[in-house]
Amino acid sequence: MKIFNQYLITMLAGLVGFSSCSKEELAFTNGDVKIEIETGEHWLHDFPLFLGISKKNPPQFAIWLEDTAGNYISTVFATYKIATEGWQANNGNRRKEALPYWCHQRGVVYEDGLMLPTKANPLTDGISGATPKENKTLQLSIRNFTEPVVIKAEFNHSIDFNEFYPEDAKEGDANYSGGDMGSGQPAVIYAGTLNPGAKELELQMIGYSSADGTNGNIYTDMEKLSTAKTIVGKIRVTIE
Amino acid sequence: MKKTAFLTVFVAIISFGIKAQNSNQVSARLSFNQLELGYQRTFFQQKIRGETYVGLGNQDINKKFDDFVTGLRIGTPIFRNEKNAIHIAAGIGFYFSNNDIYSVVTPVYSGFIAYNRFLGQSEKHSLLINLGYQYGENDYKQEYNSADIYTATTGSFTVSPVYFSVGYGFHF
Repeated sequence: MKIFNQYLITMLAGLVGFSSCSKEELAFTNGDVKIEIETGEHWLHDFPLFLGISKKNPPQFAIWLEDTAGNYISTVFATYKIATEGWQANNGNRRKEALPYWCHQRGVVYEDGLMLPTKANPLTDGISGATPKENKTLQLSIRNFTEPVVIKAEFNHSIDFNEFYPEDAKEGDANYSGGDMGSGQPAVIYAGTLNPGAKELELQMIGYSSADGTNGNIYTDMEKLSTAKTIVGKIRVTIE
Repeated sequence: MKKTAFLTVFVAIISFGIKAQNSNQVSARLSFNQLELGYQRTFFQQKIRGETYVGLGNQDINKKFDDFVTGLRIGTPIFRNEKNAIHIAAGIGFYFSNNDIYSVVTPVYSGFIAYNRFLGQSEKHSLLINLGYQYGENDYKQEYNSADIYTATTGSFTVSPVYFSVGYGFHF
């Protein structure tokens, strides 16, 4: 009985201690870059599970830096599944159509010939993190920030089909996006050039990626996209 | 990690150090996200029951059953007959995530209804069904440092709010 009471007291004391210091905050200093991703109307997308039950999935995305010549510098953040091949029950589908532009800009080819990080060799630069269901803030400090850098971001939902990218498109068709568990609408790409001394910047949607993930091109005929254009509300960059 | 080890040892001491007597129960429970082993005893003429548990969970980012859970539950009976017993109970505990991406210890609070169906004539065995609500949320910070950049962000780990488990209890 005595030991049980001691255990109860220990648990209660521990809980009080943990509860009072649970808030983590970013500590920005002078010159730090703050990247704020504001979710759009279609940030969450229905993904079917079984028996007609579905869950609201946030998109896969990556944010990275390039120089003004288009050379990749570093990933800032990539979602866990794409960064570690952390898909559940994907039956070996590596989802090369998820974020093909980011993959091709990185230029890392893995053992199976694809440009996606694997379970055995996950992403090593930048942060790999849980996909947020709400707005996301990143703190960034760029070493030797004397030249302009380009901040790019790519977002994609799976099975986000529309009339231009239907579920029944066949492999080899121009609108094929990975089959019935593929992307549907391809990934959308945002970019903005951050100059030293600038105070703020808003990334702009510059196009979309290869629907089937076979190349790293940017396509600009945006009328083929519908809900994908409102996955993101705004990406705001400010220098503290 | 030290906290995990401390709580594991502490719960183990409790589970194995108490003399066997009537009104004790050991149990195994399985839910969607958790596998638990518990030790329960009753107090005050069986009006209060307390339980400690340890187990594994799969609710962090890698979805593997490699997280550690532990806690304490206290309940009181609201119905009892020869074959059935229903308790209302409240619980407090900790959820220790285990993955390569982040590390966070999350306090978990719960309230639930516990149903026991006694099997056989001796009341030594029972089917256990728990249904309730739990709350557990904690923030964590992630950082990355390289020759090119430093970057940081915060995230939030949340325990699934629905708690439903089915299990087996052995009374002694």
